[in-house]
Amino acid sequence: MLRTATLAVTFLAGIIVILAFFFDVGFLATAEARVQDWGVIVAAFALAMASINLVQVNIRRISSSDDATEKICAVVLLAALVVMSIIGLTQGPTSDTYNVLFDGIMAPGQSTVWALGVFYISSAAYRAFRVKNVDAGLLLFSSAFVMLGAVPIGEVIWSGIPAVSQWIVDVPNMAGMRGMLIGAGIGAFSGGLRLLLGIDRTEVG
Amino acid sequence: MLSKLGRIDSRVLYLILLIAFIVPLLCPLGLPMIISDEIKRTYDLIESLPEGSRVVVSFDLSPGGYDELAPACAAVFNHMAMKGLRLIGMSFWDAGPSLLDRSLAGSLYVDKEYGDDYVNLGFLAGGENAMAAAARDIRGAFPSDFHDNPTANMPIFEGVQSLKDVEMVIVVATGNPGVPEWIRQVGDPMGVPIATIVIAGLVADYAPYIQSKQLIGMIPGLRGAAGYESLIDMLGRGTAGLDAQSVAHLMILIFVLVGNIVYFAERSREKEESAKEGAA
Amino acid sequence: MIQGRQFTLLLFLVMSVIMLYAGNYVRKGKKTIKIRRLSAVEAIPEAIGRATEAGRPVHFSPGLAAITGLDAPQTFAGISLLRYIAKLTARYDVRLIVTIRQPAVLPLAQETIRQSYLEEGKFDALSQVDVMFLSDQQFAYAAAASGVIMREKAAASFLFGAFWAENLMLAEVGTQVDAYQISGTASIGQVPFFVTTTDYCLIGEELYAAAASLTADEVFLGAILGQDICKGIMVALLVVGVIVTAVGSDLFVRLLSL
Repeated sequence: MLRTATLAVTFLAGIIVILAFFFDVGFLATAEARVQDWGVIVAAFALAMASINLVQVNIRRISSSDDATEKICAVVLLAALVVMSIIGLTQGPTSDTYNVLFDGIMAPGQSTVWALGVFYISSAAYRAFRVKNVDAGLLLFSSAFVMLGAVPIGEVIWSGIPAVSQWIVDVPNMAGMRGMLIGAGIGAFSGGLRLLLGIDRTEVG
Repeated sequence: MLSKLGRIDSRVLYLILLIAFIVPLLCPLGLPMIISDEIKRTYDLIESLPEGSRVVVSFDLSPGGYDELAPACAAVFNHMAMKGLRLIGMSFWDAGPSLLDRSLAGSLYVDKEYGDDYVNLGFLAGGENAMAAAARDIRGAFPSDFHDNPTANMPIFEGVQSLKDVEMVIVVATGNPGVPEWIRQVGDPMGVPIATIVIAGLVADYAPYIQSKQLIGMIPGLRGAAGYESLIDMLGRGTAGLDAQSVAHLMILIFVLVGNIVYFAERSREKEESAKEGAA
Repeated sequence: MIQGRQFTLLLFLVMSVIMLYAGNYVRKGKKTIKIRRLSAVEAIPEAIGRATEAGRPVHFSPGLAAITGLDAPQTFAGISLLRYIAKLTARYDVRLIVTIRQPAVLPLAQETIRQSYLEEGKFDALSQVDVMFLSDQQFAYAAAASGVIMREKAAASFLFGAFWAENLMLAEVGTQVDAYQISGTASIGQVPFFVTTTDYCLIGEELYAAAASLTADEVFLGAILGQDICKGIMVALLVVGVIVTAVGSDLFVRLLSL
């Protein structure tokens, strides 16, 4: 019963959005607006549900882990969740306290993790990027041009590098990207159609 | 020697790279600037808009990617402020509004009138659905702004019902929802020109949209910031960071080269050894 | 009818009919679809076998994309592979850890795993499964998932779905704990990183085909056939468009603008 209801809601919501895309009919536009608003509400509920999961998982880590560091990490995570939620709810995300926490902890923390990516790239470049065959050689050759062409030092090394780099991005890369985009688009269409008609029931488990 | 290089600790590589970043920041090399067509086209479009035009800036980014994009945002916002354009900020990533506030505070908009010259509408959950809702009815989707001011009577929205009524959209993006979603919901159906300020890692992904003209312009990370700063003649953090980025790119290529030399040397040694064993 | 969307509607209808017809055609057994062997998919049991021998857990990530938008099919493909992987972990009593970035994917993953364990008759073993929502922030998720892989010393790590700049971090951490890594993404910009750092990689649409090759499900096989026919039509349209435009006619451009 629940499964049938889920499939019916999926079909209705999908068909309204599709029809509203093609036909300029007043009631369809209103219905589409409602469906999209509900989508926003569902997304907000999903976030709340995920937060509950986060709390459950970390309480379990605190109660059952033998590792003291792991327990401390879980406590810090839960404390951060509670503090940010309380401040966000009571004072709002524009308050000074929230901003201090956001600018002083969250933003630099995430920037650090982002910046770490370059170190992983260096490690991967050294250990994994091997010219084992012609394909890998071509990949290395083109990536060297694109990397150097993206920064001024490329032009200093050889004035032709930016032009070659641009050609690689504009021609072979573009051809591959377009192919991938078309393939992904058709894949998305196919998946959407199957979900809409209830042929594929991945979304209901 | 080569076998030692093969077993090198990753942390040594990290240290070398860190030095490669820091030295050019302390002693700039003064490398020439690159201004690509995509950067120039964004500049030209902003330059062509009449004073008072409304530009939507969608801050769809994570705090992690903000540092890479902040110099470009500062340059573009300064250009817009100098031209007297009105900025309507919004975000479909939850950290976006705080970052937009920070970015606006560091730009020339800080001396402008809030609610008239610029506004930060805040975050709307729901990704592409939310984008579609905002595109259809901007004040309906954002009845109040990020600072809880009602948007109903804000002068900046006079004559603006849907996003069809704005002159340009700039998407500041580190991932999805971002540029493709904006193209689908606003660029293509409403015919509003879209440009993007984007992390370098997404340049190849979005290049097809440039060629198909679904994206008018693209300012890629630090390189884009440096180019834009030079176009508006206000040198800043983008220009300062470009030398460091250049050296880092070169250093990574050197790592690849050394890694391959080690790989081939070890492979030929292994072949020799197995040939000897075979002969024995 | 909204101006400028007539050709899109025509394409929508044609593609829908093709997809449904192809699905029906395969379901009725009129056509046998053979899918090329994908070494990445064939390596999955080996990776789980290695985790069983080592007594270490298996990590799975369905990517960072939501269940709406153009990247959603990647998430669904990832969930389809999760169904298969969860069956194997249930069968071999290996601990499964699933890390989630998108809140809406959480119930989907939980339900998929529950079904898989039920089908394997290992409902009790569900307590060995950790489905964790970590953060909806890209890099907070990346840091937390890397931490999970590192702390739990995952013996195998499966990364199937849409990934962005964080992919290298997840794959490198997997390398550091000597995990057997199998990845798959249609995020083309990230494919080179996965190809160089993981043991096997499903490139682009192989991710979508993987689910079909695993289950031999007629629905998926029909969809693959339908997609291939549609791709053929797209290629034909591209060729015709290039020729017509090259001879100086704007007929094709006008057709697309209808």
